[in-house]
Amino acid sequence: MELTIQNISKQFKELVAVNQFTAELSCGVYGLLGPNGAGKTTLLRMLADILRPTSGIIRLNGQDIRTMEERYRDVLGYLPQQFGYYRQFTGRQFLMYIAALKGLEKRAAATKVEEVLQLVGLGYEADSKIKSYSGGMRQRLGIAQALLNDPKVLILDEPTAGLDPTERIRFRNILSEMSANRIILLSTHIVSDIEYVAKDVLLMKQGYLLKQDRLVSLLKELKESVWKVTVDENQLPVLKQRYKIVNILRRDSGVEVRILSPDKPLLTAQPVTAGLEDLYLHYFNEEIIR
Amino acid sequence: MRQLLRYELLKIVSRKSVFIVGLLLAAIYTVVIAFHAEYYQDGSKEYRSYAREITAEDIQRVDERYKRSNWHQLPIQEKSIMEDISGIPNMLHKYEEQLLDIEIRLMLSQPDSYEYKKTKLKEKLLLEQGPPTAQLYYNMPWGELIYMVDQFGVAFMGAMLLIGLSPIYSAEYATRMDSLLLSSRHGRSRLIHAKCLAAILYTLLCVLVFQLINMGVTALLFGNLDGATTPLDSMRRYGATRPFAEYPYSFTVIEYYFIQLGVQTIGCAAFAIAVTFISSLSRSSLVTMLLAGGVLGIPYLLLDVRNIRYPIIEWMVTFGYSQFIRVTHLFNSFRTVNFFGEPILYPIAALAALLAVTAVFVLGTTLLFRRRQAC
Repeated sequence: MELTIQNISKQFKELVAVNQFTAELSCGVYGLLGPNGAGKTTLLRMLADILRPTSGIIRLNGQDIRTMEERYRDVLGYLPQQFGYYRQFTGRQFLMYIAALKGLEKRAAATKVEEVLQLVGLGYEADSKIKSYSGGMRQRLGIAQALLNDPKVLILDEPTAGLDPTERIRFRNILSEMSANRIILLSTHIVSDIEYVAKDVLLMKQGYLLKQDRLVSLLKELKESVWKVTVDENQLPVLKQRYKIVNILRRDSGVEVRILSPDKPLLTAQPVTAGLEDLYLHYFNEEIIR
Repeated sequence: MRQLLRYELLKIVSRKSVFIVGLLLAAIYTVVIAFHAEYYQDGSKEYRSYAREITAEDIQRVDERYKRSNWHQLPIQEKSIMEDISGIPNMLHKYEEQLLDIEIRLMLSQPDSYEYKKTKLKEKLLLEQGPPTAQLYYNMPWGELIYMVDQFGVAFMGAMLLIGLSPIYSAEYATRMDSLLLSSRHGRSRLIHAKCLAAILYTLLCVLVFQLINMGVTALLFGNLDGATTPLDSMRRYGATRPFAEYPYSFTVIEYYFIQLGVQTIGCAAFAIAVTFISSLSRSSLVTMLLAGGVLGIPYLLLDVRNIRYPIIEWMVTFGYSQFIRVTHLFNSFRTVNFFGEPILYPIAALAALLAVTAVFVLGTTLLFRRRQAC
């Protein structure tokens, strides 16, 4: 199974949301990282066949997905960033409806719906109206619908938004179990989700693919670039001005600061192992959601 | 497909707004009936003694009684019998007048001309119909029942279809559900057909509910539904003129009722498809409702309610959805459409035009949604 994204661009009037994006994805989990406005959602929408690229081509096993049409969508599972559900439906009704849209026969659909409801931990609330669901429950229902047709290509846009830590761990485990024989592309701001499950990371900025590599390889680039140092409160403003600060932790002994810098920032600074958050800050220079 | 259809229908009927508007319309219908209460009186017993050929003596007796008594103070049934009896000479006269007019027109027009063919067609229909029988028929329950379909039907069906179907696509766009629909296997194919079929099934449900309530209330208030097999041209409501006095066909009341039911159902289903099409263009259910409401209501309000008569308005009304929901104006007079020199009866031409427009809307909706991109 191979999904080839070849030079795709998407332009909305003056704005180029995705620019000459090229990547090759095989079975496994891919994390798509980038700041807001990087073009992640637009890219995922093109992969979900709901937005046509202005130029470029997407192929599944060598076949253009636009000519595959239903055959492509048949192997596709997609969780959009936002959607409204049908408040008057029960969770089970909603999933049965999506199953019908995905072409599952009634009996097979009923079995599969029960299975995914258990998988996302919604079995006990399956027959309650969606309007009574919490945000996390709705998100789990969204994940469940994406899994209904056993998709070979699973595209998830911010899947863990609104989930509590237990639910996020459960979700990550589901993804890991599923990733053996399918392509999973996961876009999120929550870097720890990617850190635990992603095989490869795709870094995206201003519509471009900055980098695609194994997480380990990407982190190697930051060797000797992440430092930890304990300073006095009055030294902090100077450090903030000079360096990229990843984290600040106030302790009894002083302020513990995690700094991103190619050079040793202070004599007392100790090098530490880089993480995905450091990588994110290195490339995007933005706040991290842990 | 059946599963998809089921859930599409469930989406429509499970909306609270549909339920609320349905209740509101039921309340309005009750008020209308209450205001018309005096017309819901059984007159079958009074009419029974006149279920025979009306003679010149009967007519003379009624005329004399008319002069002697205070007309307005008579019971509605008696007043109605007297109106019917005194109207018989006029009915016979009108029929003969129409045949005479036909004879003159045939003499004045070229045998191959459209005018000639049209007049010949009218002659054929009138001869098939035969002269009106000089007999009284009691069919007031049907007169009232068909009147309510004609008058209240547009408001009821229009409101129910607008409230139920305006969100059919608009709500999917507004809630961003379109992303999910379009990325699914059947989202660009069977779903569109399921939505169209669900719109039609919902329409059938509304027609059925309205007809059953209307028929039930009429039968209950009159105590019977007598007069089903009487000629349509004799049908009227108490105190009203006969709406089909000059119609050129030969239906009985019950035959016309089923024709009306069929045409109204087709008209409503066509309007449902039009609402669906407009909904596929707009993200806002309200905009859809206003646009589709305008398509249905503006011609109806201008001509039927405000009686503003301009050729363009009359043309709009001729092929307007409200006429198909009312039905009466399709059949109450002899009208034809010139189709390459051949006269086509207006109900047939109008229905053909309606079906053609509906087919275009179905195709348009299919193409629009199939090519849609979810932004």
